[in-house]
Amino acid sequence: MRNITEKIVHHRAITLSIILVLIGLTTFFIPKIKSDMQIENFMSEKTHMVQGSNFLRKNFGGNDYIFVDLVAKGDNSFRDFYFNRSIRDISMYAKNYSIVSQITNIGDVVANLTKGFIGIAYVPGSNYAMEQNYMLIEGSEGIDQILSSEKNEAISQIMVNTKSFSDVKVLEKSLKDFIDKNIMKNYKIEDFDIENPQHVKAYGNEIKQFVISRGGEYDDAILDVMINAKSQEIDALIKDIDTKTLFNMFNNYLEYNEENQIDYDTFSNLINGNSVDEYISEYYDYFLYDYEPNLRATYAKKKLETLNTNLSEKHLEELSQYVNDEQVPVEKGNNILEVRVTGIPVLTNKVNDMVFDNQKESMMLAYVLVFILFAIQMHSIILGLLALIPITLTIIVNFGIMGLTGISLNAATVTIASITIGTGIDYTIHYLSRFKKEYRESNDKFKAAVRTSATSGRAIVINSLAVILGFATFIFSEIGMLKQFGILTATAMIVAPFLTLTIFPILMTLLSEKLLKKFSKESIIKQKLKKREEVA
Amino acid sequence: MKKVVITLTVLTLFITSIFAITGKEVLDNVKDFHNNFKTEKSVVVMKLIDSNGKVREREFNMYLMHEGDDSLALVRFNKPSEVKNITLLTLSDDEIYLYMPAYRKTKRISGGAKNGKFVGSDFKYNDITLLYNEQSGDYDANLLKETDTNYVVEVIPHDKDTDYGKIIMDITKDHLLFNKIEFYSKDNRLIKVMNFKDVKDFSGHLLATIVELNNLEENHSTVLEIKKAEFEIPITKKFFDRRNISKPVLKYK
Repeated sequence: MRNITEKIVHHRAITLSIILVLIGLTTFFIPKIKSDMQIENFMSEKTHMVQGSNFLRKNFGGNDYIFVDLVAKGDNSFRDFYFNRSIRDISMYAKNYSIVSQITNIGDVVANLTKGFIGIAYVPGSNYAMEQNYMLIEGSEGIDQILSSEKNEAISQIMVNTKSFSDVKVLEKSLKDFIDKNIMKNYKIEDFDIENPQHVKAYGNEIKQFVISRGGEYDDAILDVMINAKSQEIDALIKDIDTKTLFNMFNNYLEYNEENQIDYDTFSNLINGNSVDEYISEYYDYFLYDYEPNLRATYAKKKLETLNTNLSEKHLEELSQYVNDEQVPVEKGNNILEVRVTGIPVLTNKVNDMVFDNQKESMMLAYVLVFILFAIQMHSIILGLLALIPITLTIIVNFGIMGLTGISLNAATVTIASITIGTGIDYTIHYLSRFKKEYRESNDKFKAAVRTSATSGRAIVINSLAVILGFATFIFSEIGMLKQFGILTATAMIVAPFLTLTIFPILMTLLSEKLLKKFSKESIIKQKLKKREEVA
Repeated sequence: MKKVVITLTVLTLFITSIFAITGKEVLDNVKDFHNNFKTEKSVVVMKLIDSNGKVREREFNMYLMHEGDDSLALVRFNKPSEVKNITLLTLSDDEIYLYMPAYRKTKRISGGAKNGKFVGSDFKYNDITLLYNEQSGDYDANLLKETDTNYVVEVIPHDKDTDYGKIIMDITKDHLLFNKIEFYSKDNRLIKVMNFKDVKDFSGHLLATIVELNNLEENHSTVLEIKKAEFEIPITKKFFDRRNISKPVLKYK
């Protein structure tokens, strides 16, 4: 130790440069550190838990659930169409994320029931239609898993792949943002009056919510198309629909009513106002009444296709059905809608955040306390700060190693910084106390540095070897989290004494004699005791 | 003398066993006693009561027609206004049509729906026939007990899809009407109890006008109240046509 320290203090610039370069290199890897609290990532592939999770991911696309919980309060009810559209839109928004596989929610059940009647899955835009849907849905097998009618509450079960909890966190944040920005929490349902600007605005909000949830781009032109399709007379509107499509629809209608189908010429005469058999005209009037919602939606879809909505064919079909909305949810009212995002992955992330915040706070507190202690011991604020350098550098190197080796921040590894402060301070105190004594005796900072390393330095190295062996036992653990903890603490226990025994000899020999005298001065109590002894 | 007593006792027991009524016969008698009409229309109020005591009320007209061994049924809702004109047409166990005014469309619904709940109530589609004194499907029936006033019959349904392991029916002897029916699950738990009350005479046809069904599993109950019943109304088979059920006004045909 004596020889090494002699070389260090006589080649301070080179030694310091090498150390700083090495530390500087490790800092490049710090941004690569990932936080991950997924316990199975730290367990052996052979364990049942990991095998089970892998099986679920492989065969079902996910292994855990996030729940979006919607509660209707005030005048609101789970049968309300905006309630059902919102739960469907939130679920559709979640589908934009690759970690999401299956989703089950009551809005989809309503939409699929509607599909049984009109061929397109969507939540109808009136509470009158919703009441009819729910008359068939309520009491169906399994519905109680996603709907509690007594509590006016419904959930969307979102199956997620929790291989990476960071991705789950991104999804959770995005869902919350989508809900905050788009879902109305207080509203009232009113019959849609197309002349009422407030109603048109509410309708626009619903369309926007739909488009954004499906990954589309909203533009006011979409609202204009929908309002136009809604306000036109049906006779004017069908002129824009392909005659062949209309002809086929009408013949299907005749067939359903067990009537003979007509040829294309007859149909042309019919729609051009020329004379045809009276019963055909009569059936055509019934057809227009029965098929009006379909015809309006067909027209709207055709117009929407000309816009740059970025929506898929299926979503355009669904959106075009909104042209038949009979009611609108107007902002501010007694219909209260509460939305929460929850589930085990969300709670785990919450605990994760709490652990990190807690660790950050305790680390800062430890730093402050250590600084105060050193400042008192060394009779100087500057020296107090300098004493923190080896510990700080050790923590930096440790984080760099985490980034380099891919060890993630988790409940165990996040404690490394605090442990480093706790153990590193021992070496610092050891070194500085001895240096103080040696300097007081020799009055030569170089001699004092060499002697300190030769005496306390040896003790520090032996101490660190013992601690390394203690923590190294974790390296053989089956639990990956503990294994990583063992690796990192052992590394910290190598780096901390190394930096203590290299940085401190350089720093102490760089200090002025005046500062060192101040630092090595004996405490007031000791001085008083000495004086008393001399007097005696 | 002793021989004569023994012979008479054996003979009495033999004669009694020959003339003792079976469970199946009791149910057939109930059905035959009340199925003495061709057509019927009733106005029914249905109250759905949830575990919080909240009541939702619906009113519907029910049309029935016996056509040979088949029974045709048409249910049209009148109230509340949101569900007005929803119409359900049952031509057989596997041929059920539903008209939804919200979509102006009629759809055939799956035969599997017969084990589903009837419009959110505690009644399964299969339970509805009990209101008309008829047990649907294949089953075994055992007479468990006979008193001066009642029969107690155990019904074991054969349908694999049914939720019921057994059904215990209490039937009054005087009018051959159901008094109480208990439904047991396949693991022999009592899951539903149906009580029949307030028997009234509608032009010679006796009907329990209040039927309460308590779902013990879900803490939910349904009360059916027959407000009005007319028999032998002038409807024909054409009335029970899938194209007819979408009409705003149902005319007798």
